[in-house]
Order: sequence, then C-alpha cells, then structure tokens
Amino acid sequence: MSGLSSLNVGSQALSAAQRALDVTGQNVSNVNTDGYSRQRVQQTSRGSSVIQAMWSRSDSSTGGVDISGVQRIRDGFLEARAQQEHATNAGLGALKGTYADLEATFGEPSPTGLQSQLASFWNSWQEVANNPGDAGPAGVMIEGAKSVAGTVNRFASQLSDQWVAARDGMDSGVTGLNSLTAEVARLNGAIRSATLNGSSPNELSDQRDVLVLQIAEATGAVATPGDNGIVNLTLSGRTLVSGTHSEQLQAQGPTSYPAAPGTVSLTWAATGQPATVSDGTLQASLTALNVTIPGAMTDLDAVAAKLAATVNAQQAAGFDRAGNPGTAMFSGTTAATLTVVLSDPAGVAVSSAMPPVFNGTNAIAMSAHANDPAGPDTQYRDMMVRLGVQAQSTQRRSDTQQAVVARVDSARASTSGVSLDEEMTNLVAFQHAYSAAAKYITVIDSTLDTLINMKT
Amino acid sequence: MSLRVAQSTLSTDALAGLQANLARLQRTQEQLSSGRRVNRMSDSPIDGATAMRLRGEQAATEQVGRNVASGLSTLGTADGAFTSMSDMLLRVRQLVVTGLNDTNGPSQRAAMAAEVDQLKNGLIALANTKYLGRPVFAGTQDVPAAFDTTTGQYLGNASAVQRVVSTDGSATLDVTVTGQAAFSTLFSNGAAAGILSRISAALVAPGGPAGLSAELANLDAASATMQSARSMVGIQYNRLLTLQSSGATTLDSVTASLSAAENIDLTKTIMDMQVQSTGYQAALGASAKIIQPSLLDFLR
Repeated sequence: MSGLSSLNVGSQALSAAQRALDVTGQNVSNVNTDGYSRQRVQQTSRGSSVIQAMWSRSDSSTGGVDISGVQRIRDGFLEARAQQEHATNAGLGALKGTYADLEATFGEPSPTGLQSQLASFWNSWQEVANNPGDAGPAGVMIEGAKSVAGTVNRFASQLSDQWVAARDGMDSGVTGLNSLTAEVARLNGAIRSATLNGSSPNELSDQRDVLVLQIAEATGAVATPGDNGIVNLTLSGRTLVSGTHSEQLQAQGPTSYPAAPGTVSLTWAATGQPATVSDGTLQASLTALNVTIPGAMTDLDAVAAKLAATVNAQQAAGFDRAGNPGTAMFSGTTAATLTVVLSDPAGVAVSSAMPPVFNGTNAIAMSAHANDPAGPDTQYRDMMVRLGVQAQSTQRRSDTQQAVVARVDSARASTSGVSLDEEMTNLVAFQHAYSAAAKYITVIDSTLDTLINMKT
Repeated sequence: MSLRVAQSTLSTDALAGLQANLARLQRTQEQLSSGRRVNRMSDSPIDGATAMRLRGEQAATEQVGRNVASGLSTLGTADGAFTSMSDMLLRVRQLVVTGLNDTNGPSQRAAMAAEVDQLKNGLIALANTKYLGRPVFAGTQDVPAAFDTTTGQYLGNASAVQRVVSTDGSATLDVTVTGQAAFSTLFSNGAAAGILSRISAALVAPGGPAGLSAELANLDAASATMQSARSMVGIQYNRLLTLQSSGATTLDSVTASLSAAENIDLTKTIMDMQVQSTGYQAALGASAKIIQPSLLDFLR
C-alpha cells in the first residue's frame, strides 16, 4: 500500500459519490414522469487483489469502491399483473360506455319515453271508442301511432350510428395498435444494442414498458421478458412482437349497419388467419359490434314487428266507417322500417259490426292489447329490464376492477415510484460521502506533504 | 410486504379518493336536479321496470277517468231528456183524461188532438237528443236520429253503448238505455201507429172518444216503462259516480307508488349532498396538506 494508491481510493470514492448524486438527480427530475422506475447505483467494495500469490501478498483490503451498474427497480410480477388487470379494466370501461350510450338512446324510464308513448297510443283508442265516428279522436290516435313509429325509427337510426361509430373506433384502435407494436419492436432493438454495448438502457426500457401496457390495455397481450432486456408479446399464444419483429393486425367484416351480414373480426395482416384478442378495448369493441348493439336492435325489431302485427290484426277484425274491414295501420316489420300507412281517420276500424251498427267495441279491444302478456309493451319493458341489468352488472364489475387496478398501481408505485423523502435522505448521505472522500484526499495530501518535506 | 410510500402513490390515491367523492356528488346532484332517483334503467332495473309499468297504469287510470266523465255526460244528457219527456207525457195524460169527458165538443177535441200531435213531435225531438253528434237513445246504430220524425219508427238497435271502466280494458259499463227499451210503442208499433198517434186519432174519431180509455191504460204502461228506463239511467249514473271517486283514489295511489319507485326523498338527498360535500371538502383539505410537504421543506 503506497500513499499514491491511497489517493486513488479517494478518487474512486469521489466519483462513486458523484455518480450516486447524478442518479439521485435523475430520480428527482423524473418524479412525475409516466412509467419511470427509480434507479439505484450499485456499488461494490473492492479488495486489494482477487487471488493471493505465495510471495506477492497484501494484508490490506483497501481497494476502494466500484460502480457495477445502475439498476432499474421494478417488480416483474407486479408489472405482469398490472398488464392483465389494466387490460380487463380497459375492456370493462369500454363496455360500460357502450351500455351508457344504449341507455341514453332509449332514455327510460321517463314521462316522454317509448313506454309512455305506447301507453297514450293505446289509451287514445278508448277515446276513439267513446266517440265512434268522430274524426277528431281518430286523428289524434293516428298522430299517436306516428309518434310511436317515429320514436322506434329514431332508436333504430341511433343504434346504427352507434354501431358505425364503434366500427370506426375499432379501425383507429387497430391502426394505433399496429404503430404501438412497431414502436415496441424498434425499442427492443435499441435496448438490445445498448445492453450489448454495456450502456444503460433503463430509460428506453421504461418507455417500452409504457407502450407494452398500452398494448395490453387494447388487446390483453401477454409480455414475456427475453434476452438482453427485450420483451416479447404474444396474443392468445401467437407472436405479436418477437424481438425486433412485429406482426400487424387488421379489422375484417362489414363497415355499415345493418346493411351487410357477417360479424366483425380481427385477423393477422400477414396470413389472414383469425386473431383472438382475449381482453382489452378491442375485445370490448368486438363484443359491442357483434353482440351488444345487434342484440338491442333485434329486441327492438321484435317490439316493432309485434306492434305492427297486433295493431294490424285488430284493425282487420273490425270495420271502418264505410263498413269495410279495417286496412293495415303499420307497414314494416323492423324498427327501421316501421311506418304508419293509415292516414284517413275514417279508415280506423272502430266498430266490431257492419253498418248500420257503428260501435266502439273493436277500438276497446284494441286498447286492451296494452296489457297483452306477450304484447309489444311487455316486450319493450322486458328489453329495458335486460338492458338495465346488463348495464348495472357491467358497471359494478368495472367499479370493482377499477379498485383492483388502483391497488395494483399503488403496489407498483410503492416499488418503482420515486419517493422524494428517500431521495433527499440519499442526497444528504451522498453529499456527506463526497465531503468525507474529499476530506480523506486532503488528509492523504497532507500526509504525503509531511513525508516529502521531511528533513533528514 | 412493508409498504414503501412514494410521492406518486400519495397523489394517485388522493386523486382516486377525490374522484370517487366527486362521482358521488355528481350522482346526488343529478338526482336533485332531475328530482328522480332512477334516471336510467341501470340505476335500479327493478325500480325502473316498476316505474315503467306504473306510468302505463297511471295513464290508463287517467283514461278511465276520461271514459267515466264521457259516460256521465252521456247519461246526464239522457236524464235531461227524460225529465222534459215526463212532463210532456203528463200533459198528454191530462188531455186524454179531459178528452174522455163527454162535455167536450168535437172542436175542442180537435184542438186537443192538435196539441197531442205537437206534444208527440216534441217528444220525438227529445228522444232524438244527441250527445257529441250521436243520438243517445239509438244504441250503437250509426244513424242521424233514433226515431223517424214523421213515422216515429225506431231506427236504432238494441245494443247498449259501453265505456271502459277498468285499467286493463276488460270491464265495461253500459252508459245508455236504448230507445226501444225506454219508449216501447209510444211513437210507433212496428210499422203500425204508436200510442200517441192512436190517442190523437181517437180524439177526433167521429164516433166519440170510445177508444181513449184503452189508450189511457197503454199510456200509463208506457210511462211506467219510461220511468223504469230513467231509473236505470240513474243507477248507471250512480255507478259511474262511484267509479269516478274511486278512480281518483286509485290515481292518487298509483301516482304515489310511481313517486316511491322513481322519485327522490328530498330531505334525505339534500342531507346526503351536505354530507358528501363536507366529505369532499375534507378530502380536498387533507390532500392539500399531505401532498405539499416533503423532506425538502425541512432541509437547509
């Protein structure tokens, strides 16, 4: 051990403290950066020599300090869990939005909804029965029928609009996903080069992991770590990103509703094979496009068809003012095509008997259809209850999942997040280490000075 | 695991708590401003369905109220006609009784016959009384008048006009008596002449008023029939009145049920909002105090 090598130890201590201060500065700078994981300088103490030789020995262990690397503090298990939970949360959130839109379309229960319009339509038939042959109540009844048909038509067109909007959202979601996977592949390449070079890829890894989380939110893709810091992504067992290579997805199926038959699906752009997304917003879009919105439309079509069939059958059972059997009141058997075709109040089949009798019995029978056990009113009410129950359960699942995600995020933050108190404590510690190292150098300097200026 | 608390954990948790508080406040605010507890089906599918059903029930009850009112007006019109007709029949009876006296000469009898004819025209006009364009005594027949003004023949039918008096449309009540039941052979007897025409003819008969005494008995019988028809109208009127008052009660209770299913309890909701708003302010204050300081504030 020589005096000069003691200076070397001091210099190492200075640069280690300096490096630790730098990393603390980096942590403090990124306290609010999305996806940033705190970093730590890994220091190892250095012995004099690794292998002792027979005649060349040193009894000192004062080799100084070594910086073996800068480590990103991150829990891989928590990250994987976060990706899964975020995917489920994003999917439920999107589904909740779909149901909220559906509920806004129907707007029940309300004094102005379809249920109320149907009730006043049926009641207006009793008013017709009270004044058979009077064009006034019959005209009011026909206007009521038009408003019912208009409301059903509006529902149908709003459902179509919602479907088309969801389909557009799906297309832009797939485009976004493809650019995300390409970016992950590019970052994988940069990280591998950095790792092989021996430089720190920590910031690149953080950036990449943010993108991986976004991909998981869209598709529920699973990330597995690979060699040299890269991450591979798989979608239901098939490779989405492998190292620096990424696969593209595309949306297939009809783009307008309800014109084209068939379902919307995702396929691999390269092979055209179907791609299975297990979770996330794209999965929720597929559910909305293939199940939720068409289901509501089918229910609404059934209500419209039942209404037209019920009213037309009762019309045909009665006689109008001129003594002819009543003609059809509604045409069309779907929600989009339901139309009132009867415009003349004299054509309303009020009476159950031929002239000269003109009673209101058929109109009374018509109004009683409001209470049919399987009539349009009951069907519509059942449909609303189904929708309400589904929306409510989706909402509850989403609320629960949000709580889970908050928990997981909080656990991640408690591992990877920057604590300013901790950084400040470290800052003080490293500052003291730096001062102490400087003091050590001063002491060695004066020792050497003493030695050099010693008089013989 | 020993929980390490980072600054981002604190701010995320504080934000999540504030968001949850604010979401509760927004929900209460929506309920307060709309006045309704169930604003969409998912708020409570059960209450939503009940509200939809009760709203239908409410509309049906209101419609029954209108049906009953319309029935009452029809019956009122019929009753009014009966009142005037009773007076006129009484006058006819007086004339018949007077005509039976041999003290009257042919010219006086002719005058009486003329009065009976006038009364007959008046009675037919009353029997043709219309309510909203339909003769009230013609049953369900689609005719401009219940009785032919010249021959006195009945043009209506024997079916009664009905009004729906239950919310499910199944129960109906008759709201008329038909002309046939009320006036029997007063104006005509099939194609033959009716009692009034026969009285008028008997008064001016050349052989003296011998046939009048038989017609007096017929007239009394017809009066009795009309009185019983009138009491029938009274009974129907009473039943409708009962329904009207019970309908009002039903409407009240349906409205109350609807309100219970979907409306807010104002006091409770306002209290809730107060509590939530206090909670929100407390959360804001706590967040501001907790997030702000760090060790930085205490180092030189």
